[in-house]
Amino acid sequence: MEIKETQHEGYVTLLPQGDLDANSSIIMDESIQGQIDEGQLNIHVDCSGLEYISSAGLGVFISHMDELKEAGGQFVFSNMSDKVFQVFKLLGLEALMTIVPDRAQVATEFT
Amino acid sequence: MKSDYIAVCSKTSLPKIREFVQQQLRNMEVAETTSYQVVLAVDEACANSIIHQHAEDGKASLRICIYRDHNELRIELTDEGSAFPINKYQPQDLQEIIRKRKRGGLGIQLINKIMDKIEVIQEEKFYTYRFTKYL
Repeated sequence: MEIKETQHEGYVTLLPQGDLDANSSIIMDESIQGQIDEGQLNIHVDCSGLEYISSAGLGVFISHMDELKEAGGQFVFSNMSDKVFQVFKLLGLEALMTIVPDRAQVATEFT
Repeated sequence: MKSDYIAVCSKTSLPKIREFVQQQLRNMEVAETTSYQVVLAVDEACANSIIHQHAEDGKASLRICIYRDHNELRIELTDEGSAFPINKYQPQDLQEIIRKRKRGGLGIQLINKIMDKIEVIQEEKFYTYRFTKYL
């Protein structure tokens, strides 16, 4: 898995490419932790290149959610395929996370 | 028709396991939405065995067997050791998991949500997880 990181005014976009499973979840974890360590608490995850997600991948986001919220930040997910959305929905996560259809709506979620 | 796959107990085997399961389900003409969920459940069960039962011991292996009997899809995961009672899990409160910043435990929840029947069979030094999905 590769993750492209792009800084914007007020938030960062992480663009993972490939499968986010038990093997690759550490790469996502390091990317998110790196942003938090640098003080970037508004994290947009563009899921357009995400082909698969397992509980290990979801676990990375879940484990950082409270930390971000407590510090005044949050995750915003966009461009999620139906297949990936289905996994969030199976666990009821879609009701607890901010998921928008595309990039155009991301900036307003961080204002 | 039965199809078998032997996987090395390493996390790097997971993409190959998913590919095998996906291909078999395609051959059995299982609908795409169901197929995606079954692949996920098998991935979760294998990841659980590889990480928690074998501590990623590359010398150990898992056997995955898939077959379809009319409208029943069966997947068996056979492994050496003691079975983890994945069919006796208690659903965890998601808000609590978030609050405690935990990242584990959701895989078994997913398996139980996806599969219609889960059997855990212990035979001497081997155990088998038998998953059934009604199509």
